[in-house]
Amino acid sequence: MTIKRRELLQRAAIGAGAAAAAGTGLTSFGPMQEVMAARAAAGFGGFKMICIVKTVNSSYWQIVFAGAKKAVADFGVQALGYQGADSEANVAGQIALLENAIVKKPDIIVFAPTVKDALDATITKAYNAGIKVILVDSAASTTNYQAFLSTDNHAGGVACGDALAAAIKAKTGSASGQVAWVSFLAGVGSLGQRDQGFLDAMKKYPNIQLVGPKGGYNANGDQTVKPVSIANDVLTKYPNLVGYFADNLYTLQGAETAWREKHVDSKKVSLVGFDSTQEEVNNLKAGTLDGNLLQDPYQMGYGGVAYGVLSALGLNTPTFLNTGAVVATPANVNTPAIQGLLLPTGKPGRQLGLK
Amino acid sequence: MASPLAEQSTPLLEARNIAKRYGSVTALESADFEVFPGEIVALIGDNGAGKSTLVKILSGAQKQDSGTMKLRGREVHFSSPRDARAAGIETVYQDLALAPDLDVASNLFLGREIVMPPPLGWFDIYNQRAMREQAAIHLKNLKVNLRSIRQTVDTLSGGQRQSVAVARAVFWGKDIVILDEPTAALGVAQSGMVLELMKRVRDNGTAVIFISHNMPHVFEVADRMIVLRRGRRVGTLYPEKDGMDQAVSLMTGAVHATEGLTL
Amino acid sequence: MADSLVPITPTGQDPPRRNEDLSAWLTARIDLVLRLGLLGILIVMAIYFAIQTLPSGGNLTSIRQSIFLSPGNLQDIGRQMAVAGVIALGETFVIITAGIDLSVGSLVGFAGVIAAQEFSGGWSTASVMASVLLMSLAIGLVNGFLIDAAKIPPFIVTLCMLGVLRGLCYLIGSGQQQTLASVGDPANFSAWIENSIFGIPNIFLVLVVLGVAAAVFLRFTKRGRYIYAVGSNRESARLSGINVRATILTVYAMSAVLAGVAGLLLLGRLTSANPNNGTSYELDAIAAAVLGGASLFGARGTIFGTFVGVVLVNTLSNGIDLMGLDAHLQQVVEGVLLVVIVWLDQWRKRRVSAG
Repeated sequence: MTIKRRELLQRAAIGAGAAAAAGTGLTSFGPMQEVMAARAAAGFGGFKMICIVKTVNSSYWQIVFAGAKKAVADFGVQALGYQGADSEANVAGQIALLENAIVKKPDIIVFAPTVKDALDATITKAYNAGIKVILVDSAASTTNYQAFLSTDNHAGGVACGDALAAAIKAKTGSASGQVAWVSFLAGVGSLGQRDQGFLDAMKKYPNIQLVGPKGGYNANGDQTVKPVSIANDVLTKYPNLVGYFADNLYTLQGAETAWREKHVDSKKVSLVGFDSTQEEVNNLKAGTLDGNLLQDPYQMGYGGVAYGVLSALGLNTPTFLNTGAVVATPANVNTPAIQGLLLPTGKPGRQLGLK
Repeated sequence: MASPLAEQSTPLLEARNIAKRYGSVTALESADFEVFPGEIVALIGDNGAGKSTLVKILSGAQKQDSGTMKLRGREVHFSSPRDARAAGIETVYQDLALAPDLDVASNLFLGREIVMPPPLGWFDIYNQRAMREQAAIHLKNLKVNLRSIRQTVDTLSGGQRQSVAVARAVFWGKDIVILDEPTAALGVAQSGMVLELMKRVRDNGTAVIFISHNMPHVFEVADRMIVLRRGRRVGTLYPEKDGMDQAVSLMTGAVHATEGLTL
Repeated sequence: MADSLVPITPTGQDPPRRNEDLSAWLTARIDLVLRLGLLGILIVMAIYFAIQTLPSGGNLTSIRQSIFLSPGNLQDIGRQMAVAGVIALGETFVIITAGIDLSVGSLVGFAGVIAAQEFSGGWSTASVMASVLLMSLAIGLVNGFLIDAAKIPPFIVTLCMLGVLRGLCYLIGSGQQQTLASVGDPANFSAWIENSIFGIPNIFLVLVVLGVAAAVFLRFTKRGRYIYAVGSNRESARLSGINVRATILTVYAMSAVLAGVAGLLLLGRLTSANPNNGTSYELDAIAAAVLGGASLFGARGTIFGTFVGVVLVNTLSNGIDLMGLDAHLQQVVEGVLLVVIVWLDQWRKRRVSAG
């Protein structure tokens, strides 16, 4: 390796490490791009990478792919596939995809485990086979990976809780009243952390009374109608409800449908939830949605591949990178920073990193 | 029992020199058949004699390779069972062709339901009351005893089912009814019910043709017996004067054929 | 001469004993018993939920104030059961012919995806509906043709169609969720579906109208009778001059068209088409029909019975939510009910063939 190249790589590693330490965005991949360009000129075909997410049937994961594809282009990576199971509840399907990926002997696997434990054995298998494993979005129980990029889901849950309390206070004068919450599926790492963050935030508001079953309502993995019926039934049972929290896109959209069906008065009831599509943007602007937690799936995709390349080059990477979580509200929905996060693939020249 | 009607000149249904080959197998070489109104004719013969084939041709399910058929003296050609049915010939197959989950009246009218008059009739709404009434009358005339006309066929005994199938055939085919092994699956008492029904049908003026292996049953109801052997008609017997041993001998060829020696 | 050793009575059998008579009467009326039994279970369940959801301090006399019986909640149940109910109608026809249609769930999703694409392409509501229904009709005819002409078992044909349609859902629109525009025809379409007349949700009215039409057709018309005949004994039906092919094509076409209608209803309700929509709806439809008295052996079942089955399932789900119980309880109760009813059906079939 020439001295120039080593310097470039060291700068890239420092840059990435500094970004990680700051806990915000990923910047300073410029030097690494130069290194990879040089290698390409020298005839190197690019590291082979497979990206496996929870499911391809969701705009969230499609954005992850979009970020990954940008990194693939920037670093001259050879992408062998962008895959996912047919639903976020299909654990066996994901295990099969990962095992098939290992057989293809890629250099890098960017992977979002569907559940916390069941994928550990296969992840370890990939790790032991010398593949650089980068986890995104959801945690696994094993430590056999190079880096983990994710929203700090706990912090995100806290942010949602605070946003909900703030909305309730703005509408009713004080942070008090009945609040219900729903989780999409039990046993999922990211969802569990969000729920815990939300509950921890609620402890700060003693006059808020959490109603419903002890562990919250549960949609059991149903992506379409159960979230709607749960929200409807909650509204029926608790006519004085002031707030509702949904821990992922499907449960949030179910609540939005119920809000519409029952003509909920948004001046009295507040709604906060994770992840966004065009529908959530519309509802934020219309005021029927009070808080929308935006993750940065574009960063996860881009950073996942970038960290994979760093690892494959033999450099150390930070074990955890917080890709950031921001609550969009009706007040800030039109600001550029939020817009960039809301619809990242719709904005050309998407800025990586958010200060 | 009716007296032999061989004196009557014109048979109701007549078939001459019927031949049928399936590939290299000759089912019928040259068979003759006739039946007169108001008589029961049994078609008997050993396995492979050609009884089933002949009956399929008479009922329109198969077409003969050569030979003629005449109905009331006029030549006819059946290209499908529908043609035979239109000509007044109804057939009851071994599996009865009943719908077990539907009731007796529905089965009687299956495929030929009475439709309500307009405007309900425009939507093909059927007239259940009329069908049940007619079915009840018809079965009563034939002395077929059921607990209720609303019973589903699968709750009937074997003999009752056969009777319903025969009654259906008689209802639509006023002239000729063909029965394929009507008592084969039945016990003694149930067979008796069916045989009595056959006699009543005959007494009403319908001609009955039936295939059977059961010699005692044949001798009990048949007015005439046509014996087939190896695709040819080898004899005509009359239960009044001929005995079972003669029938069996003709069927097995122990005795020379008394008919069909000339082509 | 005839063997007359055994006296032959006119009925050809000994007079039946009293016990046999009663049980035969019962067997013949087992579907009536089942249907009434199911209705009975439903009524008991409704009363139980009504009592359990009384506001504190209430008793039986104030049952009208029970949350379960509140108009808002009954409307919710009506809306909840509409989509599943419409599909179950079509499935009933198919099951009566001793067939099965596993493709309806995928067709619901497919119809929604196609409709959403067409709406976003500027098609009018009328042309979207017409095209979706025509397409569903074509799919149903293909199913029916393969089953009757090619003699492939219904399970296989519709299972393959399930896969084909689901795959097409993902391919069209590249796996993205498609939200309906909030103005113009699509907005009017979903507004109508979400609306109510005299307090009855429109979506529920659609179910009732279709249900009544289906019931009249099945019970009172010739061709409805033929459906039972074909299910009872296909060969007998054919020999009786019934056009078996037309009957088979009709039931699969109706099943598919009704699934298309259900897909449009679901789209209007959720205002977005997710390629995942409708997954496993066919199982719910079959369960509802079987609960309602349809036999997988064929020739048994009624529209009313299926309707009761659908109401039962949705009431159970709603009551469990209102009582704050674990949602999994619903699956257990449904499973037990199904086993009991199928066992009774098997018992009936055995008794009858022995008779």
